[in-house]
Amino acid sequence: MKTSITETFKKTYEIESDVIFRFCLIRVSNREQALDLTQETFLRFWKSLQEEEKILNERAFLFTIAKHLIIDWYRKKKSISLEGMMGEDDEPYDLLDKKTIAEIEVGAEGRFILEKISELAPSYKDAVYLRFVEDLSPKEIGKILEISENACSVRINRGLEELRKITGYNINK
Amino acid sequence: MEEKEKKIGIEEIQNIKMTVSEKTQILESLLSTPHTKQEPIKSPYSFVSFFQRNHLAYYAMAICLVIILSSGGIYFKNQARENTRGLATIQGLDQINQNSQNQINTNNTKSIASPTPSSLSKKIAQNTNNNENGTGNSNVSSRVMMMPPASGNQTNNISIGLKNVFEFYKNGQISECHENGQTYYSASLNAYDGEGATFDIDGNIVGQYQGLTGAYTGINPKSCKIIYVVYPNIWGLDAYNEYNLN
Repeated sequence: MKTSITETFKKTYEIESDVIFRFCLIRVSNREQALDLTQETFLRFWKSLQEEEKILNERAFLFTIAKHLIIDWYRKKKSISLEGMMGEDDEPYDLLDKKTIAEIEVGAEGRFILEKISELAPSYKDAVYLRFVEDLSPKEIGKILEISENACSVRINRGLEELRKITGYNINK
Repeated sequence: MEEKEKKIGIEEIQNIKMTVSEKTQILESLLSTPHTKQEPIKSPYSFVSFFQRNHLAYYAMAICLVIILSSGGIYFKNQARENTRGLATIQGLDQINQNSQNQINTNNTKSIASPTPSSLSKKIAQNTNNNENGTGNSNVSSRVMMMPPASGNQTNNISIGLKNVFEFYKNGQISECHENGQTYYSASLNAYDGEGATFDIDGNIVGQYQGLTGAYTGINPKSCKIIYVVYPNIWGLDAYNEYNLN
């Protein structure tokens, strides 16, 4: 039993660790922080496996944990910043922004795509990124974003259409 | 051209990866994490802690309990009084009791003189007359198991005094006692804390006691024999009716 859990974990870690790390790095723009978040994400996954919790979609499960950890990290960061204490920074968390992307070590074309995705409407950013870059299915994206599959499909379509307009790329929906 | 740029861009993004050493380090760290199952946090609140924290509620409950117990006691006391209503209204019985005891103690060889006519005696006489005339309405209701008479003569020899005693103690127990050559009847009601009395053979009261605070009646209990018991009763005795008093 223990061996099978370990094997499952290792297999999932091998496939998903880079994807989760990338997902975290693009949003926090700090490699060390992204590594910490990735480790914490897989630690929770490992504990869930040990406690024999039922996980229907491991990929969606990992992305959901990572997303919540990133939000927590932003909240902590905001609470200790002077701006946050003065109440001047009341805007919602914008996980993908140009400033963050500028600090990531990535090629020109990759940076261009990320910048253009960050220019999209907030509700489309994550859906488009997960579909366009990570190639997740609408069902998986819906689980990660905690919305229905239909609503997710609508966001993806509209987001990709918007991305096509601002990049000029021929994007297949 | 645009398609190629798009592909390159996506590839560049997808090439953002952890190094092999980082990956291995994290994996080893995760696998070496001991599994500690988290127990659910026990609530600090319970039924007892509610009272410990809230003294007002504690006092309120204590007061409620006192009220309930007190009212329960009063209720049962009233019930007992209700059952003994026939005798409860009689005045001056304590004095009679005292006189009777003195007489029993001092005049062992003499016959016991009838005490001062009391309201009890009057009441007994009145009830007897009423019953004989068919107009009597006894307050005491009871279910008496009929017993065959021990002998035909005994039925005929029942004294008026015993009949009078039976009228009042139908719902109770009657004993026949023999003290210094005299016959007495000791009777008590079938009720907790109920009243009882001792009568001479003519039905005159010679001693009276009230439930648990009962006083000395002057009769040696060893000389007494039960002649009538109603059923059901508080003593746990079977029904008995030696002289077929009904």
